[in-house]
Amino acid sequence: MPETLGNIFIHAAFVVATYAIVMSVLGARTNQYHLVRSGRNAVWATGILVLSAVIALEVCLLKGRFHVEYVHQYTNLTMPIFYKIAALWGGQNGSLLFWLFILMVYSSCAVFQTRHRNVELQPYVVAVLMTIALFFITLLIFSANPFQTMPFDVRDGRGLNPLLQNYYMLIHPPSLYLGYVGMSVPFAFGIAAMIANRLDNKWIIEVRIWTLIAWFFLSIGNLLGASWAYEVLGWGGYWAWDPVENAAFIPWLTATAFLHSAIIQEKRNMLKTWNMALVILSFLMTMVGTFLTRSGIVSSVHSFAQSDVGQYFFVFLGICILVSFGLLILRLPSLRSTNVLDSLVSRESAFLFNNLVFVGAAFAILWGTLFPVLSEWVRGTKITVGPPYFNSVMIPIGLVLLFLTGFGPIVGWRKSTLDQLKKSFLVPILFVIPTSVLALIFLRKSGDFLTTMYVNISISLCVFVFVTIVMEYWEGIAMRARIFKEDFMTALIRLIASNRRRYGGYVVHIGIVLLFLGFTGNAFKVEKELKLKPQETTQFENYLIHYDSLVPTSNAHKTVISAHLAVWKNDKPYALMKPARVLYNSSVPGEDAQPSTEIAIKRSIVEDLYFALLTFDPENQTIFVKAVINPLVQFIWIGGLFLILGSVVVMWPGANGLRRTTYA
Amino acid sequence: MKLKQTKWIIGLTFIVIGVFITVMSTLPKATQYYVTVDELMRDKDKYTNEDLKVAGKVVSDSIVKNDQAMTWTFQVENNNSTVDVFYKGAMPDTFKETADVVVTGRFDGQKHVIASSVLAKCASRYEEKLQPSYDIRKN
Repeated sequence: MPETLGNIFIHAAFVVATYAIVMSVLGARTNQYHLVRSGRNAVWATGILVLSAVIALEVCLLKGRFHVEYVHQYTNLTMPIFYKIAALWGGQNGSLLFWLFILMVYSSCAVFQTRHRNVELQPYVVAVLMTIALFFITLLIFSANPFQTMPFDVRDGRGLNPLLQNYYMLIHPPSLYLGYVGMSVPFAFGIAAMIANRLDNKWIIEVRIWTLIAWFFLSIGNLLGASWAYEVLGWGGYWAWDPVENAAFIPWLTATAFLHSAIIQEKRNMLKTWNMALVILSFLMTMVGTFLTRSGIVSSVHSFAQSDVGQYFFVFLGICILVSFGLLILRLPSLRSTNVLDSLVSRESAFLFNNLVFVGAAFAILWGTLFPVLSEWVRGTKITVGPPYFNSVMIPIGLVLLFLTGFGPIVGWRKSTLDQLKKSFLVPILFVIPTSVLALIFLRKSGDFLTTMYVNISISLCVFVFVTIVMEYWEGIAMRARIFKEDFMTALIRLIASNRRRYGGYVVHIGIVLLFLGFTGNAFKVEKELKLKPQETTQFENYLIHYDSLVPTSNAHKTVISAHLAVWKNDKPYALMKPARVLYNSSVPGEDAQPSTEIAIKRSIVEDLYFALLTFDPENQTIFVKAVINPLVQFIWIGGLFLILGSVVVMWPGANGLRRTTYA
Repeated sequence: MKLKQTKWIIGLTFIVIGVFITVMSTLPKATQYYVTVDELMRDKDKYTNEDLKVAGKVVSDSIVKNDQAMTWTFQVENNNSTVDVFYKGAMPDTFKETADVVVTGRFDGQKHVIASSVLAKCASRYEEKLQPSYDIRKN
């Protein structure tokens, strides 16, 4: 029953979404406002229909209607309720419905938010968003229907892969989707502005808000993904340059570039074409990413079924590229800047350089990700590109960006004189020099020359950026204290409140500095495979590890075999750690238990100690453990928190948050 | 005005070329052939003593594991071609018989690959189409 209803809802959504497109465009072309209004209402109606379809699928999942193929494949009777809910995005078909649902939530909000303003843009925004929605509805109906039933009755399902039964499954995919799908809204505003030829500075304000929201969720999604990989997957890292990870990182880079260059457009009325291109690119990259990962065209650890969904994406992507860049070329005259850059040493130029480097980074990653496909087309041989490529390209690019993070905010608009530069850079440089010297003296042990250089530069730049941010705050606070006679805390809070975009942005930058510190720690990573017999003790760097024994425990769902390790750090008792192998019993009779690794991590601000139990000999209890020391990893998560906090400060609605366009 | 614009274009071109050179110069150092087992066996000479990635399916009953040394030998097949793989190290959780794997290693020119890493397709969210390998109706 619910599956039939779900099907009906999706088909109805197809009709209503089509209606929304036709009415909006017709209304706009013939200046009949009631048609536009009708189109707008149709967006909300589509939203309600899609919501109903989602509810229908959730009912199927929760009530265990296993003759629905999707329910059978991704749930079973014994699964906890949260994972049954999360099974909505656990498989291909459901995740496409979930994608559509998020798109409808965004569309409904965007249409609601602009119902009284930007009347000229709105019908086209509706048309673009509903076209994207229509694409997903088409996919759901013709290629990936989650309500597909099987011709026979089944009492139980296969269940969600145990590797995915983790609380990250509940939060990581939704936030990533929120980020991915969110890029559709700025795209819709950009395209609408081009169709309506309203290319003044109004559209960019709307676009910036929505890009910021999408960027916010994309950042969280990526951080959660990194954290999931680190805590659960057992290879001791948080980022592997896997195509699926890259697909989520590329739009983040282009969106970050846009968030910066939008400021120049608002301030100086420049870079309009470039900004429009970035908005289009960010959206296209989400589509490219989805196409790459769902078509099976690139091989990834995240295995995706070979399905024809990829072909649909390919066609849709082609249409999007043609239409958006066609429009862009058509509107080039209206997008011409009214200002020119005055000097190479100015904030504008810092922003422009930052933009180029961001886009360069996105290109470099895209190139590496696509290389196997391209080489197969061109030379007939598939050639893969590994992490060494990404690391050696991205480290210098990242360092340039880090430098610009500190340079941009302290260099003046338009033009800086040598005296101004000296004044701004004196204090930061006074801090940077001793840092570099200390780093050179104390951090020499890290491998080759290049690594040492990078580590040194990275740490110096982190200090540089940090000092510039503190100075920016300090000057603002000192000024308020002098003029308004405020105490420190009041001055700080009012300073942030007075220009949240600027000071919130600096908090994000602090987050970036902390992230870079965390990345730099990777240069000092130590990794070793240890073979241990029961009661054996071994030294691993400054840790003494004693292996006691293997301890098995089991319940109806799984058997856990954990190795008990007592650890001393610098000869002081430190931790009892229990890395384990877990065998999940399959709900399918006769199918082997699915093994998985349970990591043991002892975290500290300086370094994490990390154990993964690789194998054990059941007879004599000999074990192989991967031991990893991950220095400064905690800074990544702390940096992530700052990044989120700063974004919230910027996004918080209110008089001088998003709406105001000042950026002094 | 003209002069400033030129200066700009030079500056920006510099960055673009910089990124481009970095990309192009790093690429050759980090690339590997990616072949399926049958492609490898068809063109043995080309791949002899090359570091490459070989994709295929683990042959049933071919896995031999030594818990003491943490070494593995197994066969990987694709389109009726088979190679023997030797591997020492940590195996991914998803490695099992008939699993799709990508083996990174060196090919000896005959039929052996000495592997430095094994990647098993994590049967993740987007799982293969329902396979009627067992009788669902019995459950």
